[in-house]
Order: sequence, then structure tokens, then C-alpha cells
Amino acid sequence: MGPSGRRRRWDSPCHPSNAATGARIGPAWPGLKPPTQRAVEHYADPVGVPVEPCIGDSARVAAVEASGLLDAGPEPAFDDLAALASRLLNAPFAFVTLVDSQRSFGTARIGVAADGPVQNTADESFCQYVVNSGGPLIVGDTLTNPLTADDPAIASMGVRAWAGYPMISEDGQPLGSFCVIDTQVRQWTEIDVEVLRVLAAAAGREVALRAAARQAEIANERLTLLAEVGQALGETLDAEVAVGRLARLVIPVLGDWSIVSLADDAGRLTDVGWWHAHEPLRPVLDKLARERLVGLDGAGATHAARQSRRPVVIASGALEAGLSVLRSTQAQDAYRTLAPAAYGVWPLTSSDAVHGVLVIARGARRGAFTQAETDLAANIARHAGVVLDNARLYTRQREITEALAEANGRMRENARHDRGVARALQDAMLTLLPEPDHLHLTARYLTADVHDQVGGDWYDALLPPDGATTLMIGDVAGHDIAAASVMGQLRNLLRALAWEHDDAAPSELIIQLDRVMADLGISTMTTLLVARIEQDDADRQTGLRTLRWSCAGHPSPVLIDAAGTPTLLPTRAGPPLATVRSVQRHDHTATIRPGDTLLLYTDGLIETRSHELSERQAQLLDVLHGCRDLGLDDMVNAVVASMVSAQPDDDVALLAVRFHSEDAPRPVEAGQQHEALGMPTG
Amino acid sequence: MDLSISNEIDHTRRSVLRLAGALDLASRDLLLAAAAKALVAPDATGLVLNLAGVSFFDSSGIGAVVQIARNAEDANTPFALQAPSQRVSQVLEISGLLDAWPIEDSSV
Repeated sequence: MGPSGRRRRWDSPCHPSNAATGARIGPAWPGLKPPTQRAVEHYADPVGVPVEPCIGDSARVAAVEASGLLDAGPEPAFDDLAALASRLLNAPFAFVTLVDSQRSFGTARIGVAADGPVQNTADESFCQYVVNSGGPLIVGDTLTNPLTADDPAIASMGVRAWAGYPMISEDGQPLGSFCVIDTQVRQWTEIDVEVLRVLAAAAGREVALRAAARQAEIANERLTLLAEVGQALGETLDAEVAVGRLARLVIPVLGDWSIVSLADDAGRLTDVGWWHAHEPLRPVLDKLARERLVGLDGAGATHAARQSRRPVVIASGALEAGLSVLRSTQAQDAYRTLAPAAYGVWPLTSSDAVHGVLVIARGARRGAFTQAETDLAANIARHAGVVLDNARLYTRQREITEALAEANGRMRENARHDRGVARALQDAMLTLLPEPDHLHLTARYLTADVHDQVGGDWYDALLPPDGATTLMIGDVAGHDIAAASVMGQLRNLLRALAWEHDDAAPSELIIQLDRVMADLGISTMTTLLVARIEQDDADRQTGLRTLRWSCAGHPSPVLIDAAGTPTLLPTRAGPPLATVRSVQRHDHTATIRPGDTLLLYTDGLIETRSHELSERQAQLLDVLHGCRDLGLDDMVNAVVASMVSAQPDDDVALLAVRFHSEDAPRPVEAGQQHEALGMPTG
Repeated sequence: MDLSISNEIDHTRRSVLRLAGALDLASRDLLLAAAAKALVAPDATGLVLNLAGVSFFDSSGIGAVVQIARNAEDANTPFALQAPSQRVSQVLEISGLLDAWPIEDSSV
């Protein structure tokens, strides 16, 4: 179906009985059935007793908690996806829920008042069924379905029709559900279900993004702490003053409060620094620090840590453990007020002495010390021990140098890890490319060589139901996690649009995405190129294809013919997304012959400080000219090698397609064909 | 290479920000601040960016101009570009923004 065919407006109701959407032409390849308007009903277990209920599974509940979304406020990304589901399926309610062992918490709640209830108990929520089964639940009439007929939510919320998919974590745990609800009996169609599945998968990826971002944040916090410790210990000549400052530095990253104590020549401890995260409790901690060492000898965790030269962590029952050791009643009173749930004592060790201890305590809300946290505290304590040792015995200069070098190595290691997390986050957003008939797709993604940066570039390809291939490449302004998150949202929205409106011209998809961005208040400037590879009956006779594309502020595509001659496809670029209201956009077409190659790229490939864009585009054509005999992957590698510096200033994304002749079998270099990857579920 | 900005009032009482140097990530905040100030100036009838002296202009520069145009639109202040250098015009064209705003030559 070409772009001149029927078009459905984005804002028109998408009721499943809309007969026009049934008139899709099936895809040209076997194996992938297009969704239809046929009514569907699906539930995992008609008897209502799941085989293995997993709702209370501790690994699953831990994964839900790691998302950081429980009891958090609303997030636009989930609100947008739920609102889209409600709109596309014409359902009054749509929810994104996270289900722990007790309750179903609504991260997004479309159709419910903003100040309405945010959760219900798991056993009255329909979400329990999809979490327990790990599969979809599609119920057209909740009263006649044996699984749901007795569910209290039918009476309390008026749930008469329910359709939802589980949101699955990267390691396969069902975390919650993505669902729509109608108060009337519904016949859910295959298209409804497909839209829901795609949006649920998108929501699942958003959850993964949150978990990865949190992990990156924690890694960054620890890296910063190590750097601050290195600086604090290095910048003052008075090592004891410097070590005393550690108490303040490690809070709040490692705990709620901390005390640093140093041993004098006779081995008696004195507290030299202490800090509490909460200002009102600092006077209480002052009292504890003054009194706690009174009469304290040969007992408790501090003593054990000094004797053994190893950290001692009291993982639970810290209040009782501490009270049993403290001798001063004033210290006991202060300790009761501080009420630690867990604490650890790290000896400040050097090669042959224990110079003091670092005590870190935390309340019940912080949970137990993780291995990474105890390792970090041990590193800091060792570093402090070495600094103290150096101050006391300055002849050991070489040793401290080595220790500092080791600490620097660890910091570099952490920095690499941190960047790895950012990259992983990005990788999660980039699609496994489909390999349709006789097309060979390949892509490259290079991130800017700046610490902590993730990019807003993306590429994507999908096979919508009408049999065309849709290519998308874009660039969200900015290089931070916020840009990556907007990129993820836009990418998902555009996928949903391209799938739903498979007869729309590229310019229409761009206009619709721009409109949705305005509706959702996404104002980040974004360049985008959308291209469709089409083949009508006449083309099929002659072995030709048609490339149809539209461009929003994005660099023009390059077409390389079978003889290896590259041409910049003349493109009238419209403005980027989220820049100018109500603009005209243009579509372009070009004829594709067997053996041609299409190259799409983001501006990072051609933008440099020292050259005009036109010079760089000419340079790109020169490079491509030299690649005439190369296979697709070698060609793309050569472009990257010639055009991109070893430390790029900007992200670079490339998406290339080689069009093989349909007379010949699919060439080996094009790799395995994955027809069913039209809508990867990620 | 820095960006210098001078502010003038033309004969129709519009604020004209005359830019010279590099408009990039490093200088965009400077320009945004100058434009914000020009927009709240009493009895200014419009905002004009004169780009004749801009020697470097990249996608961050585009982002800054888009932001200023949006702010001008929100403030109901007519916005125009003046005398873009060839480099600027080329970037505007590739970005599809050559028709987005009125472009005047500097004799206006």
C-alpha cells in the first residue's frame, strides 16, 4: 500500500470495528502473519490456579525493587506509553503496574484521578494473573471468564474487559503488567493485542533503562567518593586532620552516620571526626562520640576489628550489639536515639599497624551493606591507614606512592565500569536489525569519547505489515542520560506510529511524531530521517524498488550504485522535530536497482570544527568511491575508519542497506534471514 | 575562539544582537542569556540575530537559535535572522531551517 492510500488520522478513534484497517495487503514473505481484526481471547490458565505462582518469588521482588519505581512519583515515559495504549485501543483506563509480593503499584494510571489510589492489593488486582503466568491475559468479558469471574475488582472498579501483557525484565522476571481496562464488554482484536504487546515491551525497556540509570548513578557516586577521599588525604600535611574528614565524606554514600577514631602511641582510641546525614541528630552523635570510648576496652566490634585487622560488619541487631558494649549511660542514651540497624568497623591498616578505625552505621531504611559497599569502605580505610602510616613514618615514602598508584588504578577501573554501564544502557536501546528478503542491513554506533556521555543518536528498522521496510535514523540534541531517555521514548513512539500507520508516507510519520511530541511536551530538538523501501507490482516485474524518504533537519542519504559510484540524494530537509510549529514536509523518491547500497548517517559523521559540511560530504563521497569492490560491512568499516577520529567529539550512527538481486539466492555475506523480526520485542 | 555579542537598537526599535566568533556548545549559554535580556527590554519591537560575523556554527548553535525563536514567539516578539554567513546558511539549509524564520540582509 502506497502513501497515497487510505490514511488514518492520528487523533481519530481507533476503534477495532473500523473496517478499513482490515484491508491490509499481506506481506510478501511467508512466515509472518499480519495481525487482523479477528477477535481474540487469551488467558494462560482457564482453571484459575497457576501452575507455579511466582508473585512472592524473592528474585522477582528484588528485580521489582531495583527498578526504583515502587512508591515513586509518576514518570512521563510510562504515562506516555499508557496514554498511547488508552488512545490506540480506545479504552478508558490504562495502567503500568509494578507488582511486589503484596500489592500492585500503578506507576502510570490513565483514566484515574491524579490524587486517586496508587495501588491495590495483589490478590484483587488482575495484574496477579499476568505476573504469575508470565504471559498475556486478554479477557473480553470478565464475568464469563472462569479465571476472573469472582475477582473483586469487577465490582470495585467496574472492570468488564481486561487486556494486558506482563512487563518482563532483562533476565526474564515478570515485574508487573501493562494493561488496558474497559467498563464494557469488548472484543479485543489481534491488532489491539499486538499494539499492547509492543507497548508493553517498550515499557519493559523503560524499566530496564531506569534500573541501568540507577546502577550508573550508584557507580558514579562511589567513583566520586573515591576521588574525594584521594583529594582529602592528599591535600593536607596533617594526616590526622585529613583522616578525621573522612567521616563526613563517606556520608551519605555509605551510611547514615560515621565516626573515625585514631589510636595514640599507647594504643588508646580517640574519636577525631564524626558526621550524621541528618542535621538534627548531629548533637546526639556529638554526645556519643564524646562518651562511647569511656570504659570501652577489649570488647565489641571495634576491638575485634583492631585485633583481627579485618572489617567487622554487624549486619543485623546492631542496636542490641552496641548497647551490650557501651559502658557510659549517656552514650547508651545517644546510641538508642541514633538506633542503627547495621554498622561496620573498618580498621585503618597499613602494612604493619592498625592506626584507628572507621565506623559506618545505617538505619533500617538503608538495608544491609553490599559487598561492593564493604569493599569500597575497606579501600578508603586502607588508603587512610597508609596515609597515617606515611605521616608517622615518613621514610616509607615509596610505599604510599605505590598505594596511591593502586588507588588511582582502582579509580580508573571504576571510571571504565561507569562508562560501560552508560554504554550498556545505550546498547539496550539499539535494535537487532531485521533482514528482509534480499536486503542486507548493517549498522554502526560510536559514542563520543567523553567520560560519562551517552548519546541521543539512534537507528532503527522494522518491517510493518504492508510488506515495506521502514528505516529510521535520528539524533536527539544532548549527550546525557536525559537525551538517551528522550531518544528511547521517540524511538518507541516512532516504531508504534510506523507499525500502526503502515500506509503513511515518511513525511506523515514525521509530522505525527512532531505532533505527539508537542502533545507530550517533549521539547528536545531532534533530527530524523525516515525512509521506506517499497516494491509495487510493477517494480516486482522489473526487479526494482522504490526508496521514499523524508527528512527533518537530518543529513541527506547517500546512494551507491552497483558500479560503486556514490551520489548524495538531493533532499529538501524540513526543520528538525520540536523546532517550528506547523510546517510543510516533503517526501522524495528514488529508484533502487539491484546492487545499489543506501547509506544513512547522523551528523557526527560529517560535522567537524575545521571543515565546512559540504567539504566533509564531498570527502564522504570520495571515501565511498574507494570502496567500490567491498562487501557491505567492509564498506561501512572503511567509512568509519576514514571519517571518524579515534576520539570522536559527537556520537555517530550509520545504517546501511545493500539491495541484492532477487533473481539470485540471498548471498552468504547478507547473513541469516530473520523474517520474524519485524517487531522485535527487545 | 569565543563569541562576542553586541546589542544595538535599529531604526524600527528592534533589538539587534550582533554576533562575532564561534556559536557552539561553549558559547550558547552566553547567547541565550543575552537574548533573554533583549526580550524583556522595555519597548523593543523585535529581536534580530545578526550572524554576519559567525565563523563557526554547529548543531548546538542551531539549538540555541531554535530556543531563542521559541522564547520570542512565547513573548509575542517578532524574530528574524540577519546576514547569515555562508557557513551559517549551509548549516541552516542542511538542518531544514532556511525557511523557518525571516532572513534579512544586513542593509535592512
